[in-house]
Amino acid sequence: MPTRIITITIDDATAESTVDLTGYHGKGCAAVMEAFNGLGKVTKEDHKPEFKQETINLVRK
Amino acid sequence: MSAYRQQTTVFKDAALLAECLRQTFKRVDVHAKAIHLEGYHGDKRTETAEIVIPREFVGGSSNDIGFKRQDDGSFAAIISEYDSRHYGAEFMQKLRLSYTESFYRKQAAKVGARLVSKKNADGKTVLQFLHQ
Repeated sequence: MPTRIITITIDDATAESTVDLTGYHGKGCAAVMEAFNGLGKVTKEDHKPEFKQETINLVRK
Repeated sequence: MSAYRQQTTVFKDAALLAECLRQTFKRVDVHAKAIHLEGYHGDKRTETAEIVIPREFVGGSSNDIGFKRQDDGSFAAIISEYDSRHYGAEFMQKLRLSYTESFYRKQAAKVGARLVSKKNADGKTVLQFLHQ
């Protein structure tokens, strides 16, 4: 099982922050990201290849 | 990287905001319904707020400091011109940083992740959580 790491980077001048999730897949990734809802306005969001991997695996089954 | 998000910080959680304010002020009151702020003479001001730092805990000759819930659910600071000299832009920036970090620590703990490192460099604070 890959190591799951959450990296938060906060800009000290503006308090704008980024959330980087690594080692997660699909629904697990979405569930964790949902935990960080409600802080403020989301200005950018992106999913990487491994996020979609679980969906591809489910379709193949 | 599995997912990435960039977001701003808005004061929305009253309990979290009050907790962050308590790092600066010995007493912070949270009211279900907004109350009138008091001036340094004990006079009731027209401004109201749900989160109030009583003037006695702000400083000598100070007025109450308040945070009032807005229509969008966020809290806006109400600080007199006199008290803004000590609790102005720099104070608000530090408060925003404290709130942001506290939010992430609290939410990371909720999903079962634990803080493994905190670093400050190049004007940024980086927190890393391990989620086993």
